[in-house]
Amino acid sequence: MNLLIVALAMYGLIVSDNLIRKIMCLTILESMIILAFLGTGYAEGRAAPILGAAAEPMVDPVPQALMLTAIVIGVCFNSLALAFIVKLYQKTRTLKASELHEF
Amino acid sequence: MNSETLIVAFPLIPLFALGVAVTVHLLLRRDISRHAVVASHALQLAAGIMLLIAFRDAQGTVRIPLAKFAYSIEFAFDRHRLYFLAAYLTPLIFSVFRLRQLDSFLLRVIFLFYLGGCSGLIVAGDVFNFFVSYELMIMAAYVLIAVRRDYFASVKYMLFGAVSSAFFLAGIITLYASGEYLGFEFVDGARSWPAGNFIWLMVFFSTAFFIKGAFFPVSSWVSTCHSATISLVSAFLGSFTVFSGIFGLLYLVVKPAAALDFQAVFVLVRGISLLTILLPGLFAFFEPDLKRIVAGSTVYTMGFIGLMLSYQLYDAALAYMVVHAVYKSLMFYLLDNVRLEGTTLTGRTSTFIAGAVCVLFTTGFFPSLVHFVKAPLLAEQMIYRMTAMTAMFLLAAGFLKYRRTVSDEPAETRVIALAGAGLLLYYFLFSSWTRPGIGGLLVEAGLLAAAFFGAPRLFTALSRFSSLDRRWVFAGLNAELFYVLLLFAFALIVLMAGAN
Repeated sequence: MNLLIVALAMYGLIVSDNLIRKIMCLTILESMIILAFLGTGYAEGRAAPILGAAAEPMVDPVPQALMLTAIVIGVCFNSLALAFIVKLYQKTRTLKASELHEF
Repeated sequence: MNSETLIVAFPLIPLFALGVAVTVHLLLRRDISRHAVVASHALQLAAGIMLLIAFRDAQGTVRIPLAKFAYSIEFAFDRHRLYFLAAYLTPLIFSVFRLRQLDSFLLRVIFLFYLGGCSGLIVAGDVFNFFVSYELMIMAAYVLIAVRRDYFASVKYMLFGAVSSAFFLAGIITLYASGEYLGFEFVDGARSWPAGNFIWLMVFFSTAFFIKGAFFPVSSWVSTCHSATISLVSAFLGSFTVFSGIFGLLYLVVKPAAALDFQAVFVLVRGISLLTILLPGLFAFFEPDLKRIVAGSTVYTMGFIGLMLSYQLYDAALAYMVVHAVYKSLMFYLLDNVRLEGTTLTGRTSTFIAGAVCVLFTTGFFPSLVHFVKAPLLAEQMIYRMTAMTAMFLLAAGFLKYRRTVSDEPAETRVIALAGAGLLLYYFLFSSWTRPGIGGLLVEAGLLAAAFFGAPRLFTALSRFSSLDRRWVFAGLNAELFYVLLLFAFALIVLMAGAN
C-alpha cells in the first residue's frame, strides 16, 4: 500500500502543472517514507516508548525519535514553500509550472 | 583547546552567534547581528585553521558520540573532511568583502543559520546528523535564494531538495531496517545483511546524492538557483553547498562500495559523471546570461569529481573541489563589477584579466592547477580525454563568446589579490605535477585559440539553435522532475545487473 501511494505521489509530482499540487504530492511522499520508517520499529501489542510507564515490552523508540525531526523539517518545508508560492502568485498571477518555467 | 572540543564547537559557533543576536534583539531592541556575523566568521576561521593544522597528517577517524547511547548524535572528523572544511572556509573568507549585501537583521540571522548547517555537515558522524545539518543548511538557502525576489528559483530548489531528501530518508530506512546503527561505518555489518539490502541502499543513496550534487540529468537547477541570488550567497552555494552531494557520495556510496568491492557502483558513477562533464559545455555555449553560465559550470566540476571518486582518486577529487571553491567565489564576485548588454561585457581590464584566469581554471586548460589535478584521471581512458576536450572547448567558447569593452567600473583588487594568493598556495599544496606531453599541449592550445578567436562568430552563426539545450535537455520543470525517476530507474538497473 505504501509503495502504491509513493508511486501515486511521484506521478502527481511529475505530471501536475500546479505548484501547490506538487507540494502536496511531496508531502504525501514524505509522509509515506516517515510511515515506512515508523513501521520498521513497530511490533504488535507493544507499548508506546514513554519513560516511567509500566515495565512492559515497548516498540523501538529510535524510528519515532528520528521521524519527529523529519516531521518538523517537513512542516518547515511546507510553510516556506507555500509562502514562496503565495509571493510567486502575487508577482506572476499564475501557479502553472509550464508558464513559470524560465527556460 | 583539544581537537575534539574544536570539532564539537565548530558548528555551534554560528548558531551561538545567532542565539545571542536574536536574544539581544528581543530583550534590548538592539541589532547586533552584524557584529555577530563578524564574530562568528573570526571564530570559525580560527577554529577551522586549528583543525586544518591538527588533522593535516591524521590517520583514521576521530569519533565523538555525545552520549553513551548507541544511537546518540555523533560528530566525526578525518583527513578527507579537511578538504570540505577548506572548501567551506574559502567562501567564508571571501564573504568578508560582501557582508554589506546582507542588509537586514533577518537576512543576517538566516545567514548564520545557513553557516550552522554547513559547518554541522562537515563534522557529522552519523547519517541522521548529516540529514539534519543538510536540511538546516538548505532550509536557510531556500530563503537566501529568494533575496532578490526570484521566488521561482527558490521553489525549484525546494522541489529538487525535497525529492533528494526523500531518497536519502529511504536510504536511512534501508540502513536501519538492515539492523545497523546509523553511523557512516556500516560496511562490516553489510556483509551479513539480507540479499538485496545493500543494493537498495546504494540505489537510494546514489540517487539522492546525484540530485544533491547536480549530476546529469538532474543538473538544470544549479544554473537557475545559484544565479538567482546575491553574489555572497551564490559563492557559498557554488563553492560548498552543492558539494554536500559529493560528501554523501564519498562517505555513503563510494567508500562502502569500495570496501565491499561492489564494482557496479563505480560503473554507475562513471557513466553519470561522464555525461555530467559534457552537458554544461553545451549549456554554456548557448546560454546568453553570464551569471547562469558561471553557476552552471559548477556541474562540469561535479562530473570530474564524480569520475575521480569512481577511481578512488580521493585526494585529487577533493583537491579539485577546494580549488574550485576559490575561483568560483572570485567569479561570482567579479560579476558584481561587469555589465552585460546583449553579448557585450563592460568592465575594467583587471576584472577581465582575473576573469580570464578563472575561465582557465574552470575549463582546466594548461597551466591551471585543475589541469594537473585531473591529469591522472584523463590518462585512464581515451574516451575521458575526448569528452574532456569537447567539454573544455564548449565551456571556454561559452565564456569567450562575449565581446568585451573596457570601462571605469570599480576594481576588486583586494578580492582578486586574495584569490590569487589562495590559488598560488594551492599550487604548492595539491599539485601532482604530471608533466604534460607536447602533443596534448598543442591540442589544448589549439582548442583555447579556437575558442578565443572563433567563439563570438560561432555563437552568432549558431544562435538560431540557441534554444537547443532548452528544448532537448531542459524541457520544463515536469520533465526535469521526470529525470529524477529516470535516474533512479537507471541506478536500479545498473546496480541490479551488476550484482547478478
